[in-house]
Amino acid sequence: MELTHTLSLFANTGGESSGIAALGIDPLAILAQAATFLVLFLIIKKFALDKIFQTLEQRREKINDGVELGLEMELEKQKLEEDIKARLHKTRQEADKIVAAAHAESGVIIKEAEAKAAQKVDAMLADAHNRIDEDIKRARQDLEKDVLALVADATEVIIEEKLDAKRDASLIGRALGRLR
Amino acid sequence: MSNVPRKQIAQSIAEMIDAGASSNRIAKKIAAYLMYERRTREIDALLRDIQNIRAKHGTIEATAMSAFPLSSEVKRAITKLIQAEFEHADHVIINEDIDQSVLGGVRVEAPGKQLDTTIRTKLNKLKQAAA
Repeated sequence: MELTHTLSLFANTGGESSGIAALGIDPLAILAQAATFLVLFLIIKKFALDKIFQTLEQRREKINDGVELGLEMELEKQKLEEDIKARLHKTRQEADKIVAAAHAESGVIIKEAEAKAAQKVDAMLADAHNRIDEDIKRARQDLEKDVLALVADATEVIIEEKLDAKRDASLIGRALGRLR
Repeated sequence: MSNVPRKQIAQSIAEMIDAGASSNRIAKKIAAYLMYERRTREIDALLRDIQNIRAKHGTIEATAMSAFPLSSEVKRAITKLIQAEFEHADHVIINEDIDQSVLGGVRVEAPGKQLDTTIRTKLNKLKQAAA
């Protein structure tokens, strides 16, 4: 019904400029253009559109794949960064432990070295003391010998001067008396 | 050159001394014999032998060396000492030897025995200890 009405409207446009024709719109032309369009559309659809859609679809899929890959890479990169951070942290901790152990060990080594040095110093001091004592002892002995020699010489001189026959007789008497 | 043992010579001389021969004569005999026999080096040994032989017979001859002449008291003391040392000593003869280098004291030498109380010896010991 509506189609008939529409067609009747078109029929009335032949010699009259009334209705839609007054607006400058040619329904037949529009129809012809629509039919042409439809034919063109069908031809294009048959020969090109599918391919175009196919190509567009492929491209869309590619783009989607690329975007997904990009997201995946982003995720992997994040994971890698986190992994690296974790490893770095662990390495730092181990390095700190090693440094602390080295400090402790060096402290022990230094203490041992100090103790050894102190022992050595004590030994050297003891040795020096002993040498000094020996030197003193030797000097004392030398002094005693010198004193004895001096005493002997002095005694000789004094006796030569002081001893006479009477004193000598007394001396001999006492010596012989001690023997009896 | 005869080879008479020294001890035999000493025995003969000891008998001569005991018989009362003069010491001068005995000394000459000893000297002449030793020179003739070229045994002058044996004189000290010979004199020791003579002393030993006389000691066995009861005569002790000792030499006392001192810086000053010995008093009679000292000689008596030395004689008593010798008699104590030699049981069979009937007769003790002390020969004095003055040597001022001993400084003081006395050194008595008897057959096989010696007593030294001289100051020289004591000083020498002191010096040896000092050396």
